[in-house]
Amino acid sequence: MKSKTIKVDYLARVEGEGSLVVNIKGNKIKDLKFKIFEPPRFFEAFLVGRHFTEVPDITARICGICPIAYQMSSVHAMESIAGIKIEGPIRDLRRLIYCGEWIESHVLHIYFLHAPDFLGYEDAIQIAKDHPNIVKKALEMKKIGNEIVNLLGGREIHPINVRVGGFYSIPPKSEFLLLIERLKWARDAAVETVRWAASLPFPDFDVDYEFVALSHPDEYPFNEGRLISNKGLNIDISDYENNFFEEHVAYANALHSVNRKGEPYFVGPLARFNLNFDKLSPLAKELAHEVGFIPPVTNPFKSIIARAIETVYACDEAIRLIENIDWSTKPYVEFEMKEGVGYGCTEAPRGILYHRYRVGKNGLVESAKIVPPTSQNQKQIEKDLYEFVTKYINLSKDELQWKLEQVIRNYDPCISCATHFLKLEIIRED
Amino acid sequence: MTHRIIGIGNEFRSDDGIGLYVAREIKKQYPHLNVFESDGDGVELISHFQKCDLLILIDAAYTNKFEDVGKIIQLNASDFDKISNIHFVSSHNFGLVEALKMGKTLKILPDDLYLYVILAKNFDYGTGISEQLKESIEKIISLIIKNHFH
Repeated sequence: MKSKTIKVDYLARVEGEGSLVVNIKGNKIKDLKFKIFEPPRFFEAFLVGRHFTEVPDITARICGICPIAYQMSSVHAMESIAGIKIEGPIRDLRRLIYCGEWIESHVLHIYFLHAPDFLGYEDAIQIAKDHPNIVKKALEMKKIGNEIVNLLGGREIHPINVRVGGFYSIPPKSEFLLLIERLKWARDAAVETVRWAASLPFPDFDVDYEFVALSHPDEYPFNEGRLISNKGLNIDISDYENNFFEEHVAYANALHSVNRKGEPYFVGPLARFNLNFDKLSPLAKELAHEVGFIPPVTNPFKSIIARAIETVYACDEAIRLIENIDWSTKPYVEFEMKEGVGYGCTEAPRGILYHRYRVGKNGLVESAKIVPPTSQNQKQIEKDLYEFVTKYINLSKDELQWKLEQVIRNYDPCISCATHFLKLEIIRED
Repeated sequence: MTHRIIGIGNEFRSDDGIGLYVAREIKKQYPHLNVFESDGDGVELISHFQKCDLLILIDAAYTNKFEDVGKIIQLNASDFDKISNIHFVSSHNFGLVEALKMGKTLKILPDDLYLYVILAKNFDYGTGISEQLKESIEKIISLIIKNHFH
């Protein structure tokens, strides 16, 4: 049997350091490993001994793209220890800042990281050469998301205005009202993005996934809800660790997550969309119907459409919130911290982000556990890669390599988050 | 003429923080100047391009030659083809280099754009910069003031 080796040294358009090694012999996969070698970052260890009030600011440092998610999961965990539940305008403001993060993260991934795969460009700079207006539009859309985070979070990168109990301060309503017209423009641009994304060529590739997401009776999930799946899961977030388990694999610095049967599962926009379709805004739903994107959608390449629909939703929701929030609210609620264990699970742009903390009598963190979405998707990504190579093993070396990178980017993996960077190596023996 | 000075870096990756330290020191010594800090996110950097006529960027780059540590490289907009030869360290897949290329492609770069690069070696996790780099902070500030604000 002939052997062939394909090596690709660097996989671009993925946040962080990692690699893929595929070894193919004849028409069979000999070995396939999605490796994450970004060094472990030990956040869970150095949170120990820090005061609970510091945790939102420390965990925000885990990711430059989704710091709000880290802040939201941590404050909800701390509030569950304190025995308080944030309602009313502060709760709405938390949804608003999350809208900002979804808009900026989704637009970045759709246009700068994922679109080049579908359009046959090396990167977004090449797209800009042929289609400068598309890229300019994307930059403007992303900027609006950044501005929401900047305004409410105090700054765009690693925001500092979120605290346990609410916000340190709330900017005046007038500053948010200035965003409404631009959000309406961004919503229109996102509507065009959905139609464009739905027109892209998608490989024939459907998988019987277990989709996992938060579900809330009244709203598309950001911060609250039960964890549900299309395979019967319906649990309180405090039950997460009884249903999902982390495994160390020798070739990766990020832990692999598996479900109660030891199998991979899928978190992120496609999971949220499939499990919460009825909670989308009327415009987002109408658009999904218009482009024929109706759940269950089981082709991971179509995640780009789910991201675009969620961008429409996030713009819609941000407008609704700004128009309806009672801006006279006090920025935070007073509370007395208790000792105990608390859980937070919120919907980061890439999927559920689970936090668990134990806080002692003195308010110091005694233990911390953080499970980011990329870590949860990692095993599923590896399985998708395996199944894609199996199905399309006869593709040319270049085409297979291109598609495999795309399989990974379907999940918008943030390896920096999961380790706590991506290089690709395909070894083909045929 | 509107100007912006942006120090780029990650202060938790040792010498990569020098761009930020330079920015903070300029702000302290010349409070009338418009100084910004950036963690190197390319899209965020692009957002500065159309807000000024003069843009000064300060960032660290990797060298494996010990004798080059602390060396300052000055580039202007016409030199930017050389940036591909400079090893900027970034965990962002869309960082400074991509932002500059994108800005050039979209024709949105400011008329006057200068990049000050400080060569460094230690980009490990940790805070504080190498002893060898400390004197580069004042050197680069003097250069920027002399070249653009005198």
